[in-house]
Amino acid sequence: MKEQEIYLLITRYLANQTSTEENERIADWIAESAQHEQIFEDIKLLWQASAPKPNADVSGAFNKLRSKIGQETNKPVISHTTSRIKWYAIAASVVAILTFSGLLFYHFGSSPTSTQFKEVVTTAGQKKKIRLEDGTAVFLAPQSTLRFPGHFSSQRNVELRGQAYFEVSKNPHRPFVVHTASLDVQVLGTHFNVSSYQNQNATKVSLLEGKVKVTISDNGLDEYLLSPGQELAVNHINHQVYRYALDSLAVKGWMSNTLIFKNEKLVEAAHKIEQMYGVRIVFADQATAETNLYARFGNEPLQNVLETIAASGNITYHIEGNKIYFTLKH
Amino acid sequence: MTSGSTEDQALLERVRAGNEPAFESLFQKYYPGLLRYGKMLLPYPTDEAEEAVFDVFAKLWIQRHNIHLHISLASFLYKAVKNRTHDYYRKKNMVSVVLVEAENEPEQTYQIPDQQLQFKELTQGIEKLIALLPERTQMVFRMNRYDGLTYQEIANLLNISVNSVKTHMYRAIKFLKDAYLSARASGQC
Repeated sequence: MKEQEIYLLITRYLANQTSTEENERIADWIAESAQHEQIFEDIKLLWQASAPKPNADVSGAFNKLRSKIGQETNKPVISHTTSRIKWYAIAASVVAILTFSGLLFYHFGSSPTSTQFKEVVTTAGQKKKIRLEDGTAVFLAPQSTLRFPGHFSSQRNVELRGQAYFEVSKNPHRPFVVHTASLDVQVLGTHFNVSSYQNQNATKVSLLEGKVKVTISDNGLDEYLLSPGQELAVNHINHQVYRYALDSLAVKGWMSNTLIFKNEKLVEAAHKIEQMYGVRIVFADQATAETNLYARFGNEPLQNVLETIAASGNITYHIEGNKIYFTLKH
Repeated sequence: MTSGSTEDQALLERVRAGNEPAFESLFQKYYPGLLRYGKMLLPYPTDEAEEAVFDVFAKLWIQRHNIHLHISLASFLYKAVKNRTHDYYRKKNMVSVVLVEAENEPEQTYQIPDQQLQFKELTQGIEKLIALLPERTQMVFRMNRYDGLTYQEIANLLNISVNSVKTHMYRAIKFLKDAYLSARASGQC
């Protein structure tokens, strides 16, 4: 191969722009000699060293852009109520967004300045309590991620994947907003739970104290004010929004390792058991998965939970390592 | 499918859902490259390049619900900046000289003497080395390295052939590799 050809092949490989066949060609070429391998390593070194560096001027530029968008959205031509409302919501969070600039570095994973933006992650079976700089307490459920800026500005924005219970410190002048994939929750000082696991078919907001405003991200228009004791659920499948009285034990159960199943299908209960105990649950068939379950477990060992489920549902189980297999008795 | 575009798709998905931090991430990622490209297309000292890039991002945000891409986001953004600068020339009744630049091979005479590599500037790192490359070679290298554009996409954006893009890339890599290694060897980089 000509030198130009191989140099470009290697860089395209490093940029993930090669096909499988090309990857094989590179591998063969490298294997041909130590000298080839050295060239590959040298180019790789150069390629990694020349990763884009974060640019300090960009934050200033983004502010300019933001004011430009502000002007444009206020022009009569496009001033549908929708875009206006949405934009005002954004304008209100102008200062806060700046603190998200660390996010870029997070995405590139290549900068020491990512300390600006913090991320707390829990694995299955793990819970964490986070105290934010404004005094807000966040209890992060298993298999969840909370992202928040090191310093809050005028609006307190956090991003949640999974589930968390929030005790937000009161400050009417600095709204606290929880962003999830499907909805945003804005609060003034309150206790509430947000559950937005991707493998569950609904995102739920449960309010125990205070007041929250929920904005559904799908259209940016639907806003719901919740009163204490209410739960709002957005179904990801039919996009319906439901509001109903909550069961506070069920909502807060995960914090005290309490599992409450009220006529839930075993497959849905399984998600919660997996999260709490860090196991994988496998069903022998659809019929087993659809068995209904009515039970309550208060911080009990996994063994007890499994025994009870087996006893109540005419089900047997066996454990292989980290996996639990459920089968209907015949 | 490059890893960059997978990341972009995830970000774009969040932008569609109205997520501003994701929008800012995209802006931060592409603003420097698009601005450099815009300035190349608009040869006068002017704020127009900045305006063109802002226009493109403003449109992306305002119309985020209606944007469905069949090309990479990087390519889409660069094309949009190119179109904006065309508009600029049209408004000014000018002919876009840069855009009709004749096909030409990169300068053959381009060489960096060895001793130049000993320059103290090398302590500033690879960015300094890139800045030593001819302007057009820098542009090609950065478009590929920073913004993940393919050779074909770069060729279209710069109105040159894919072969020219390859030549630019090869020269950039060869020079940077040798310079970077020798700078590292002498403890300067």
